[in-house]
Amino acid sequence: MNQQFPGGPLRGEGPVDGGSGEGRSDGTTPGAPESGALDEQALRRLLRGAVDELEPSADALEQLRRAVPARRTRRRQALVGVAAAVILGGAALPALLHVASTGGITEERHTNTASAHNSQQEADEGLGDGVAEGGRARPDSPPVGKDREADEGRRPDGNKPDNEIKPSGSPGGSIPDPGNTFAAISPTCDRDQLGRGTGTVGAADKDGRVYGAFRVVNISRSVCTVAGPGTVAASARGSADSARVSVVDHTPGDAATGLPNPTAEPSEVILQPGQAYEVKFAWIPAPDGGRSGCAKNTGGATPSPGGSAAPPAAGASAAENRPTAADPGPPPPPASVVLSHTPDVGEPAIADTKIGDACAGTVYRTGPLATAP
Amino acid sequence: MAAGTTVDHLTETYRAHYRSLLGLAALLLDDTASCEDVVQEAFIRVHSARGRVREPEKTLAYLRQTVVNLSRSALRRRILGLKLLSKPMPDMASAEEGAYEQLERDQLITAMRGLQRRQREVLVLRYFADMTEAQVAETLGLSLGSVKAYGSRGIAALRVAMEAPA
Repeated sequence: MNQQFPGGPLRGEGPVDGGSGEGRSDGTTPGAPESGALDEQALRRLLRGAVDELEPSADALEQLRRAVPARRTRRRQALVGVAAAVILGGAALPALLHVASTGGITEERHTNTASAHNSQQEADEGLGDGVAEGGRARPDSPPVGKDREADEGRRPDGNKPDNEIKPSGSPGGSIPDPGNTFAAISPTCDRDQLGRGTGTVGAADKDGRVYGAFRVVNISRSVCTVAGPGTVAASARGSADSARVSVVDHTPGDAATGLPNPTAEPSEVILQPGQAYEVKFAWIPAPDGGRSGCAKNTGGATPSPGGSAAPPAAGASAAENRPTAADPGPPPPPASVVLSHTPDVGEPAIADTKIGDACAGTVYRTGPLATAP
Repeated sequence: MAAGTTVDHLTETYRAHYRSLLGLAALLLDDTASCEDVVQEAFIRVHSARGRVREPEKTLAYLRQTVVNLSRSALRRRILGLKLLSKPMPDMASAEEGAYEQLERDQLITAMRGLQRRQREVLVLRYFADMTEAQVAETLGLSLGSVKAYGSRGIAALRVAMEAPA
């Protein structure tokens, strides 16, 4: 392309479409950077001229003719795959739990970890002395291990309702219809679009089960699609037993009966500006371990808050939970489990929350769930 | 599979829009090698989902939006130092290569790449894709005021960049 215009280069017209009827301005006074020099019309011509010679590759259309039906097939298969994964998960979990309860937590963890790199990062950051990571394998994505970033643009399920183009199309808080396929266009939520992360936990029930949720808000002004389940990491603190804390996906029929049915989870969550998604979780203490999960295993692990100061009227209240009288040495640090949630788009973690009086057990988590804005 | 999505529709949109979308991608991306990948992906996404959409007249809007999004992803990944769409264009004939090479040397392209991403996007959508400011705002998820601001600052920056001795 010829852009050597002796005068101010901005006066040059689109280099290649000189025949468009616009007069050449070669003769104009050099360097006349008057505000009109690069006016809107000139910019239009320049932009068009700059890419005017780009041609599709010879078989571009052929490739599309092959690729479009193939993509459709993959999307259909992905849906079938989701269903299969749910069923399989339901069947396999008891076995996994059995393995877990016999000490193989680490193995189990890996079976549920889709994003090992996150795990590594967190470990590097010294998040905790025992970090169990519940990355959720995505049934709709190609095999684990494929680079997630590189894959992002090519996921077969990348087509979701497009609320950005048709803002009127879907009222704010509605859970998007996974069958509505227009979201090709709704971009995935960048990490900086997500904020105001909070983690909450409810009170423990009589068996020590605790339910809670992470809530993450789309703080941007654009509609975006939650890229994926993200991770929930559990970190044992104090006298909690890091080897016996794990995070798994919630599946039908598991112990976390208070979590929503995973088969009803939306395959995509699209967030309007200001709308939040939630990842719900349940802490289920290890069986036979009392309310904290390991009352029997480590004497005194059932924590008292602080473990330090004997509460007033200690004799009356917490005798069952607190065998402190038998402790010869200083009381162990209180056991707790800190959960943190990292969005699928990556670090840093957006929220964390602490489950007190938790020592050994399993965290069951859901995928992202849409909430009302 | 889907009624409204015939090969004819694909061919039709290909003929009508592919080339201009290639230009759009070239102007948005900071490497031309990914242009065709991005446009192909946009076509595949939109057309594999087309079946359930009854508004073929919106195809171009969807395609453009997808190209914008994919281009952003590309930039983002590049910033992260990751290799995006790394497969080389296998079918890029030498003739096209020539065009891409020329593009790399184009003064305007060089200047555009020096702009902030938002400025570049606004200018390209506004003046290459001929969108209205409102359409640009919608596509980029910006307010109308931001679009105007990015646009005027972008033009000013471009002017400065192109007046600098090459």
